[in-house]
Amino acid sequence: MNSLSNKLAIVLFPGSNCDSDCLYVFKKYFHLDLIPVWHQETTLPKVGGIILPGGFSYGDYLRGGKLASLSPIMKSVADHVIKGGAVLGICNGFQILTECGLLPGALLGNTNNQFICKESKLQVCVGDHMYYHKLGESTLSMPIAHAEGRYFIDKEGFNELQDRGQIVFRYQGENPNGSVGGIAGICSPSGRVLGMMPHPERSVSSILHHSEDGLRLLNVFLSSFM
Amino acid sequence: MQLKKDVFDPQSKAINSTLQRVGFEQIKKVTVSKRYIIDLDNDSSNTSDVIEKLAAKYLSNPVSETYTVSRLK
Repeated sequence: MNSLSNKLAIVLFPGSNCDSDCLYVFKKYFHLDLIPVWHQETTLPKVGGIILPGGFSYGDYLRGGKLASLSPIMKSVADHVIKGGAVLGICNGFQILTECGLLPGALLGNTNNQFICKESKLQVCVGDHMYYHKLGESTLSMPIAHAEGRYFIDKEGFNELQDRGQIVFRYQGENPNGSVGGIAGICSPSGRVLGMMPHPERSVSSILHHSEDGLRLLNVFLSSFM
Repeated sequence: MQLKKDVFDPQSKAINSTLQRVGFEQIKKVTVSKRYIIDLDNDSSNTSDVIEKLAAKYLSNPVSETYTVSRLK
């Protein structure tokens, strides 16, 4: 990639609600100031990584992430990806990434018709050529909080993801939302774009949450471009 | 717009089960779909193209949904 910027931007959509958590976590644990970028901007500051935070952008109207995927800033996000920049889409951010085509598949309503807010166990299963392989073959613990988290892709697409090692996480044990293959997070073929339903920014402190696995994940995300 | 046949729709299933429970045992299947009514400025020659593009690119999700287009009087 170009002169790899060690700066990070976070895109704010109307209805984003996990942006403050991300700002706090990156400042406190990584001493990084995320640069907030309003969705109506058309250019991004020079950054190595972008975060699309969780929330309910545009009230999830039409469907989760669709209207946000049409925001002016998303053209710059796509250009950033083409240039090899890193993107992390969390929850609604993952929905936005699939809706704008930066990641394959779609996120549909949970099979139990409920908003699910609970702990999830994640099995890391990404290909060993991907950045996120640095997490090792471990089980991570992070919370999920969503109504539309059922990852769906047709059989052919699923096989491609599997063959290319793009499935980063699968739910271990219970499949809470009915995702195909228990998928909780996938990355792009290059590994630089990661979308995941669980919230790493909510899993950073043993005081608030018994696991700090979110920090491990965010650390690997940062290492993908820093 | 509606979900493709091979995509499970929990909402349809919940409605189906409930309606059967309250006495409509004859129901075989419920399919939920979403309908958008779109007024265009002019009935120009490319109306069909515009609506088709809206449906295919913006309103439906090609991964999981199918759609049909019809003209209202």
